[in-house]
Amino acid sequence: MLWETEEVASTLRMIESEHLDIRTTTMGISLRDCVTDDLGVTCRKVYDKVTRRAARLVATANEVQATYGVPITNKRISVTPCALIAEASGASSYVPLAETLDRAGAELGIDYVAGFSALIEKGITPGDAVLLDSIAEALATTERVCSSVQVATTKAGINMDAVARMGRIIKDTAARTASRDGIGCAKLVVFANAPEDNPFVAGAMHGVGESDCVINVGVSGPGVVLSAIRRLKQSGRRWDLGDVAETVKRTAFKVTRAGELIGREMVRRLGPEARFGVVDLSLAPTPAIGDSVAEILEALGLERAGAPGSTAALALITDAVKKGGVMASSYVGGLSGAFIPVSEDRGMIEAVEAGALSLEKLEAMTAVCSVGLDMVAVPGETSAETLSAIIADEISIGVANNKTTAVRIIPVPGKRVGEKAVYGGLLGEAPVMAVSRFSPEEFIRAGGRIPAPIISLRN
Amino acid sequence: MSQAVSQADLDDVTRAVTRAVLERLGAPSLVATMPGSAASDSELIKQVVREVLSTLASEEPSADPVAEPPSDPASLTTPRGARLLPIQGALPSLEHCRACVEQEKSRQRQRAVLTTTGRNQRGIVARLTARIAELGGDIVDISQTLVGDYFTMILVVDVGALDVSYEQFQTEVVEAVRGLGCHAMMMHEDVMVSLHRV
Repeated sequence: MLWETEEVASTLRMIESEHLDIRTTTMGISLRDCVTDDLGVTCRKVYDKVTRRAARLVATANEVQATYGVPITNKRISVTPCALIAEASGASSYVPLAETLDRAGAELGIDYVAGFSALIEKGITPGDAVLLDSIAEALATTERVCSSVQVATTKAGINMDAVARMGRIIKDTAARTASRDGIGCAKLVVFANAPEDNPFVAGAMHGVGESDCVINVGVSGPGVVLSAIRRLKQSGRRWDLGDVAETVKRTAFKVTRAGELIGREMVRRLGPEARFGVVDLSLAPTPAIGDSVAEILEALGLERAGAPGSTAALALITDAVKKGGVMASSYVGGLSGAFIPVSEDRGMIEAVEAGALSLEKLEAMTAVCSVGLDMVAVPGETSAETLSAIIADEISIGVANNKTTAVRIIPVPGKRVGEKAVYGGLLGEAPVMAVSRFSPEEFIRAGGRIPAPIISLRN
Repeated sequence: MSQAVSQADLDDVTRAVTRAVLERLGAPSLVATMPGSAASDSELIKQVVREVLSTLASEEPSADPVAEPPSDPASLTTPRGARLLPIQGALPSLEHCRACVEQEKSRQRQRAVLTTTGRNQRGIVARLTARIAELGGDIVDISQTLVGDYFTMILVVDVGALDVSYEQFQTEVVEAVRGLGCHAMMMHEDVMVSLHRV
């Protein structure tokens, strides 16, 4: 027999009942050739380029999905950070550019277009400033546009003026989308060490060093990993954490291989314009039952995600995912770790509601996984300074450890601890988490730049 | 390929053929709008070059690929009966054509894995395999296990020369199995290879 029965059965099981899917195929498009000194002209060029390059993205993904049977859940677009594209225009607001991206997304049938972004880790140029001032309105008036701001890198240190500003922008964005539980903030990410090729929204952007048009693939395998661990536990034989690591590694290999296959096939069918970028092998959960990273932690023997041991368990999982995934793909990139978004993971939501998971524990866990404080809802009355300080903490973890960390935090207008922000779809629902009542105001108001850490001097 | 061809020879042939193809397809009369056309430039080039290469590999004499451009390009048919369609937009580069040919060569086989489960019925194997053959599939391997009244059958089917598209083949076969009162799932073998082979 060419194929062992078990191989066929396991593949079918992964696809049919364990939620193996390609989370996203994201087309990264360079807008560098759209720069002009007139924002109207720039917008037209951007619209033309995006709609032309991505014209067959959705159709091709559907074809590939039909051929291989592996669902491609999302098709998305990321673009060059818009602050770079619009700066030469001299315009006083870049909202028209966001609206252009939104229209292009609608035309193409794409649900998110990410990259309304700025890189301000060392300083804020006039273009950066205009973009920052445009974020709140852009996220309130568009559906599909996602924004991100890099406020620090290990090499540059932390721009605390930028961090202070982001706290205020987040409050403003929440206020403008108050009727929808501050959903604008669900499309805004603050970064340290942002990857240039991350395919996952809301933090996706098409880096300046990338080529004109690439396809980056994000896979999704929490369900597959969870099932594999459960089978190990039910196998009857004695198992230890080393066996778990091995199981996760082998499973991550398969999941990432699916991403490599799909990515290559997408590029093959899309033709000469698109090149293969990277597979982001991150373990990315959804609100669906059985597709949860928190449940994986619980399967390892923790009563709840957030209990003591959660950081260690997450470190084990994240490392095993990387080891297995790296072998599976020719180019691994993006975030490539494990995601712990609170609203997008059923197990995380339940852990918060049970009182097992606090903001502080979440922060500790982000030191060993890949995203950060993601989809965290806090009380609407949380001050801008407190938000900035939470951001500063998370950013410092990334800067000091030479890794990516990010914050996607939502001060839900009018809601308190014990209540929930409901967004629906992949964004899920977020229980409002408690925030320390002690003030960082003077620290944040001091501003300035925290110098780059000594580890950045590697030469 | 039925005879051993060196890599250099193959490159030369690919280059010559692709140049000829590009010249033919580059004629201004061919750059016309065709409503509802889903064929992309690269897909077409790849299809044509593949046709040519398989013709070269077979023993039968074929139409000279570097022949005169036809007066009516839309009437041109390749040896395997595919019609040459006009294309729109910019043409792919020679690099891309070569890359496509390389990729096609490395995909030496196109196979699907069909899993069927259900209650044992008289003639089910015969009827299923007949339907597969009707659609142009070639069964390469079958394995079956019977547990009481229930069976599981795994077929590996060569789908490289289907008379219909792969998606249509998949739909029709799964439907045929359902019509026999059983359950079927089909997977392209590439998924199996990528997941289970290093």
